[in-house]
Amino acid sequence: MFAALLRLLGDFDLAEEALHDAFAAALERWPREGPPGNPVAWLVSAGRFKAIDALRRRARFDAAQGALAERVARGPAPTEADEVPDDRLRLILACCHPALGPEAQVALTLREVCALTTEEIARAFLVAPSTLAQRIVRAKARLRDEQAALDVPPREALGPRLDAVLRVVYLVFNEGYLATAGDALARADLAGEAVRLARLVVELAPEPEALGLLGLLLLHEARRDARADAAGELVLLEDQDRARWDRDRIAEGCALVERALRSRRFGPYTLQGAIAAVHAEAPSAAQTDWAQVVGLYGLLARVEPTPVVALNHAVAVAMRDGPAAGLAPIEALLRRDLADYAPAHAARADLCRRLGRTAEARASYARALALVRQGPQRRFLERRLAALG
Amino acid sequence: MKYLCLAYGTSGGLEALTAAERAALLAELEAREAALQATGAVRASMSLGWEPATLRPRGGETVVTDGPYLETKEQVGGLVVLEARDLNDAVRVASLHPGVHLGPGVELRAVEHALPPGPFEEGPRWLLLAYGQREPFERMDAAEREAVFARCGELDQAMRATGRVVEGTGLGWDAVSLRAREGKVVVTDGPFLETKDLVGGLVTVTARDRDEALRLASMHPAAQIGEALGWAVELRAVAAGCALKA
Repeated sequence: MFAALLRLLGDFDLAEEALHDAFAAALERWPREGPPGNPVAWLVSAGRFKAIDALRRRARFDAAQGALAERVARGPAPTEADEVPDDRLRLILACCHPALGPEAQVALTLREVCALTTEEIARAFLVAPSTLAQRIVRAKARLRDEQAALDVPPREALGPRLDAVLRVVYLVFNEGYLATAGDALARADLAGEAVRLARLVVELAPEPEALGLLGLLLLHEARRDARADAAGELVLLEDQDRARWDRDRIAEGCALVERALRSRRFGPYTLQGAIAAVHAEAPSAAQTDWAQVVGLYGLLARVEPTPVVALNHAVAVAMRDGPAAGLAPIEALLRRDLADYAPAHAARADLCRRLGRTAEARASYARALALVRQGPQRRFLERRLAALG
Repeated sequence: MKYLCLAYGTSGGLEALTAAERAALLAELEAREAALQATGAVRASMSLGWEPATLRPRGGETVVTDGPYLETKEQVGGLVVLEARDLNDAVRVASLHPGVHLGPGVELRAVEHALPPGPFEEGPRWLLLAYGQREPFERMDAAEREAVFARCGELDQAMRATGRVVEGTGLGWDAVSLRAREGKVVVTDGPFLETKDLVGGLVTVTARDRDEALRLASMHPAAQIGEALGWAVELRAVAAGCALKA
């Protein structure tokens, strides 16, 4: 409904106001006259008329509002056959518009698509509500200026913009899965919203990478309960109680990843999903098919040649061939791009520990600790450091 | 969620206008006020008189002076309570406030708590604006904070026992400000005035005259304690005809 009003009115604030007014009108009229045959179409139509009224009223002190009223009045009227799924897709595409920065895309998507409040989003990202409110206000103003963004037929805009949409879903999930600061290990709400969003994207646009991303998120979510012990402390993948993994989510995630792989048009999300699937299907860390993990990271490094992928590739090599084999590439990464990346220091520390090079392990754990803000991750590193004696 | 919109104004200015200009301004004010009311989000509103008195806690005594607490050109001139889904929804409604377009601007704050309603004696209304500073308040440890809250609770009760307290509201520190620049509403993160002192709470009381209102204001916690927290109370008359309609 909101998405349809946004299309008809071309402005977030106006659409929100119209929706509000339409519900108010329904509360007043439906009990008296009985509900209409198609309530959604009634509300969209009422919202559009209310918006035109409000704009005409404001034309008394702002001529631009009058012009806008006439444009909306002359524009297309809603029909009962309005394609609701396309409106939702259009809304997602608008929120992930390339004119907006990633932070603004994430904030706007969570508010307009997931219906979270400014205060809830601010709490999840540990910023003041006023900061987040300003970010959202600016994003809406930017989209108002980019009017064309809302007019694009969504199916045509989808191709080039699917990447941005998937990245927003991925960022929301990451923030929920691995908080960058604060004491909540997994902000379940955000991760849950990301899964919901990914499902919506798959429903609207079942592209291989959308399937792959949903699969990846489900496979990570399946391990949520096992990632923290009773005291809320971090438990590494190799130490997790695999009986606590959610088998239904794993089955669904694996099926999605397989579907994406079969399309042969997959990308980085599907490959990450495939890696998560190998872990999910292994009975224990030692029995993991590390050769396959190494191979998948090799493929991923080709489509997404980032230092973090290279780091994960090196860790997988160490698991397949022994700690010494992974050490040199990790040390090379630490000298170049990942000097301030805590997981890289922690990975080096872990390999040194397994090689009995205690002094070096201690130095690397300390370095990682200096770079980490989140409570459970800090305490995990402190425990490792203490265990070295 | 309820949000309080503090509308800032400057006294005077209207004298410099011609009769025609004044009439046009009033017509626009009326039209903008109608547009704000048409949102259905306004729960209460109040406009304030311009002759304030200030009460400060000083060494266990309350010192009263004539004049506003803040020595700024802009002063709080009116209040609107909005009901909104979230802060951005409140910003959308507040951007229609006449003060954004015809005055210096408005500040939006979340209403965090309210005194439970109780019986009170009707009479002319007065507003107590309680000021405080965020930084020393947030620096207090849990024990200090608890001690302050406990003392506030006792003082609040004594004030309410007079049967003159209409209502009381506490605000969150986080603030968003709205101003018009070249016909566009500009939203900024932070309070409207660049002072450390912020309105932290509001209490409406009834009193026959200013002396009685001052006596009630001196019972407010921010007139009695919190010297180190920058606390103070500013007493303002509620302009006639604009009583709260909560």
